[in-house]
Amino acid sequence: MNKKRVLITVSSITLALLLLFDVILLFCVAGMEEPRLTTGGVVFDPNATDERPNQGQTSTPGVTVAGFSTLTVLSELETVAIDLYNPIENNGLYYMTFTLTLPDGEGGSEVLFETGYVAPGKHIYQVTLSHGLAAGEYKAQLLVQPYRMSDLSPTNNVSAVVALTVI
Amino acid sequence: MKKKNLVLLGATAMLSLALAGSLGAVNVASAETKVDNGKGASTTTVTYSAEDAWKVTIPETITIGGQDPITVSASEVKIEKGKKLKVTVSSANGWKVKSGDKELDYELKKGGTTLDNDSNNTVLEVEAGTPTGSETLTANMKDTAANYSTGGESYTDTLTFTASAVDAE
Repeated sequence: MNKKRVLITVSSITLALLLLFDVILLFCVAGMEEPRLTTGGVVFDPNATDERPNQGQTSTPGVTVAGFSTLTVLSELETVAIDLYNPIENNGLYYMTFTLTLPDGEGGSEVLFETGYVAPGKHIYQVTLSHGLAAGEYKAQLLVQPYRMSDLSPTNNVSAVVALTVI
Repeated sequence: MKKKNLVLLGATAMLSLALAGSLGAVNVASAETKVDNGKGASTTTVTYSAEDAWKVTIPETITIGGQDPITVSASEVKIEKGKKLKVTVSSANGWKVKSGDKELDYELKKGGTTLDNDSNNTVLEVEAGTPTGSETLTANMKDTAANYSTGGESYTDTLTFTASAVDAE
């Protein structure tokens, strides 16, 4: 009788321990795997998210160019008083060069003067023309070419139509 | 006594005459030195002279299909009365972005107007007397060009914005 009781007791305890072990094992396994999403039997990858918006390039600043529409110079003189400048708004961003041209009458153009790089906030108050001009009215083009300070690559540019009066 | 009175009277008369004469002389001198235009007023000249000038801000580069707005603006505009500052745009590559000998068509638009030729290339106009102005543009690949990739390369074009003071219509 006692033996039977002992056997039953030991069996019960063993069974309980086995059950407890299974439960513990079940929780451990469940903790290792991601919960699986299912809809109608389809398993979705939980890493899938909505489409990211197109980042594009980072915002680039605009280039500020100062210009004018009229210029008066004295005839036959090559030294001209002028005010060409790179606005301070471009500080830390762009250098500029200035080139004044006239139509050459053959579909091309001739350069009257061309500056070197001008830093933001700097002015050029005097230029030397390639040659003096006879008195009269001319239609000139002032090309202002900005360059990125970071690598001296050219950006979009501005061309000013200048009514050049030589007196 | 009578003689003395006569002498005194004569001296007084002469003194009065001399005084009157000197006052008259002063008045004449004052009249000669006074700036007079015949109406009792003086004139001076007022002058004003200002050179025409303006500033234009353009995009250093345009990213086709990018998120940033493409803005062209003018500021500190000072031009002759009766004129306007007109800004137009042209493409160095004929509205194609290029990488070596490869090219793709694109278009730059202002509202619903494509800026692609001399008659449709005005970006911005600012009337004399108005110091500022601004316009926003869009850039997109044209037609089937949008279906091509660039193989990891950057295709580029250079835009020239031409500013001129023209007669206001």
